[in-house]
Amino acid sequence: MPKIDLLPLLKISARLLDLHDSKRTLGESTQYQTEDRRGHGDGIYLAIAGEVLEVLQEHGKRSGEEFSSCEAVTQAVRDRIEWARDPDIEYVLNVLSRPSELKFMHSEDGGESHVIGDKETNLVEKAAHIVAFRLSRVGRTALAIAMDNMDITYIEGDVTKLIRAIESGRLTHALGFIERMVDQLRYEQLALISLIERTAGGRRLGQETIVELEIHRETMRRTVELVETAKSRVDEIIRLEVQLTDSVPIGMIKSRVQELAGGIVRYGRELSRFAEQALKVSSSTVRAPSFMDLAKKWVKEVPAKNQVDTVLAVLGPSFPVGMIPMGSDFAGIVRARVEKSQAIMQIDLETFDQPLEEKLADWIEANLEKLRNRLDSGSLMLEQALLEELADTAGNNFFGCLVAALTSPEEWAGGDIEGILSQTLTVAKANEVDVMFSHLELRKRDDRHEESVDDTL
Amino acid sequence: MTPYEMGMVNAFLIKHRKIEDRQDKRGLQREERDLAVILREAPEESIRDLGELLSGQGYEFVTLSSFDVVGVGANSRVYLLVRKADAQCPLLDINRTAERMDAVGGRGVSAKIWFTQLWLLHLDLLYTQRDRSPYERNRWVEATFTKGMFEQAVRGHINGYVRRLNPAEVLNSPVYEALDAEKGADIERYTKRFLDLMCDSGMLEDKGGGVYRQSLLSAVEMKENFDRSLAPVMLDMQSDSSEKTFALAAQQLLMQQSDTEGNAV
Repeated sequence: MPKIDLLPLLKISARLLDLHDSKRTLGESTQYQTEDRRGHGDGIYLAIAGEVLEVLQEHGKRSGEEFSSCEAVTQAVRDRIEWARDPDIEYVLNVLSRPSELKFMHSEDGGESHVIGDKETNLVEKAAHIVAFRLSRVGRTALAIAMDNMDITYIEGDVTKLIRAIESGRLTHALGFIERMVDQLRYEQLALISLIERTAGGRRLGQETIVELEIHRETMRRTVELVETAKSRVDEIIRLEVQLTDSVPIGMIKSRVQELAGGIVRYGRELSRFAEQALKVSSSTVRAPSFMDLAKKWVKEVPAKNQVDTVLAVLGPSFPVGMIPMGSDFAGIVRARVEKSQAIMQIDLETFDQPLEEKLADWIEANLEKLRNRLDSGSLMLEQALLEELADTAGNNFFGCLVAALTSPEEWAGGDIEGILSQTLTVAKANEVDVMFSHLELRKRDDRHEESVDDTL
Repeated sequence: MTPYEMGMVNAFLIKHRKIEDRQDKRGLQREERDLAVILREAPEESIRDLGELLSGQGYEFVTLSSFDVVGVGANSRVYLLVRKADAQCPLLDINRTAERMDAVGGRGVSAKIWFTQLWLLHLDLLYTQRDRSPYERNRWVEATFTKGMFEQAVRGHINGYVRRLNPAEVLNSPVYEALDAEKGADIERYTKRFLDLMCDSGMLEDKGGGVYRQSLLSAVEMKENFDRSLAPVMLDMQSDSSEKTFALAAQQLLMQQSDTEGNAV
């Protein structure tokens, strides 16, 4: 059974009670009056009160909310706190069972507000005629609040509650759970980002933070699965068109669950980033850089102009210069991508004919090795290429591609290439067709052939 | 988002560097409110196109929500135009800083010296004095200082450090000369100009009553650009000081050793 933590309740109540009991009249000075807290200030009665409430809660659970005798309570409290004496425990029981009137403003259905008193403030209920006690309704609520752990580690429980609320069609409650979780996630994520930013500065964090990290990551992994379940429940309600009486529309729940899922995934991602960074950090004594020291240094050692300009260009103040471009400047220049994808979608694959340039590029790519090998081994002649392996290349445009490749060697050959063209007619068979052409030869340029090439071409 | 709308967003961002999309419209210009709606309703693809456009101008287009940084309300967003450390922004002028610091003109170098020194001292208040690392963007909401604190820091720097330097050590230092020539009223005048121009350029926010706070834009740029701009300069400084520390330690050890040897003799 987890320990009841009354401190958060006490902290909230202290300031509110100060305001409730304030002696200031309206319009007076805003100065806060020194608080008058009489008493020993040793926390003894608070410690006993915590135990008394816990004992009464346990007894109530065992006996079905039956009253417990004063002796049973004092005995149980003494078992827990050795130094507690019976009269002290009885005193605490008397105080806890005493109602005190609280006054606050109340308005009915948006009408004019008026002051009302509420005396149902006793945490413990005393039986009539006998000295026996049990938790009052307010006491049980107070303990439920004190035990409700807001730690992000228990978010799984909250998501489970959300799933049950969706399943039972209580969408107002579901929305409340989602709002609370999104708020909690936002707060936790910002706290985590602050931690990450601290480690980015080179500081090491407390060991306990790092130990808790893995637990958190595991929790988030499981929570994502639970949120997926919640999403599927919402989808089911929408698909089956379940009639709900709740005023909150299911569509709103769907979008908020989506937002929650995004928040959890984001938080999980930040946790991973944090884990990665925490492992790299080795020092806990890194201090913030001293900009004052830099100012002092720059008094003695004057920085170079470009050094200062570089820093100020990205971190200092700056102002826009010249004409700031307006919307009309971009008309026709910036095009939405959807238009491009539509254009591609309209292409009919059956009637599409590949452009000639692409056909040539494909052919050269397929035969590049053969062409280069032949050049390296001496020369590349058109009739020879047709008669030998290049003639076997399938396709309707192979002859055209071969001629185009031989007449533009700078595109694919690399290095300095010379071409020899002579009007010696040759007839060769290409794809069962007789073709007639002049002698065309390519070879790597050699200075010794310079003159003869010039003569030839 | 149409090209026309994209152009309007682009123009506004270059001028103001920030567009806020929040439910509480107080303090927002009408144009900013309209552009925030355009950005909120823009498809992801258009936002990406806008980001690419701005990237070509030397900026990074940053969107921050309440899950990313403190100071942004639930369901609100802030769009920022952050300068990139590895690119120049041709649409920005940093030289106007000196003009604003010295409106009369003719003292450009001195004005720039004053600005640079004040800029470092204001960073000292925003970061060093708070033991805040430049990467701690999230603490921007608490990064405030008063005009009085700032003037005091400047006065302390000049009177407590600069004027106590041995002039022989700082011969030919224009920074020393400019600060040492301060006549009493210069600090107030220059700090006022500095604060005004920092507020006009969106680096500081005037919270009223002489209180100034770092802007979110400034905190984001510091986090993104510190490593590639100021850090190398400050790294030099740290290595300088550690060398001096080692030298001092070594000197003391040698002196102790010579004392011991002397005693032994």
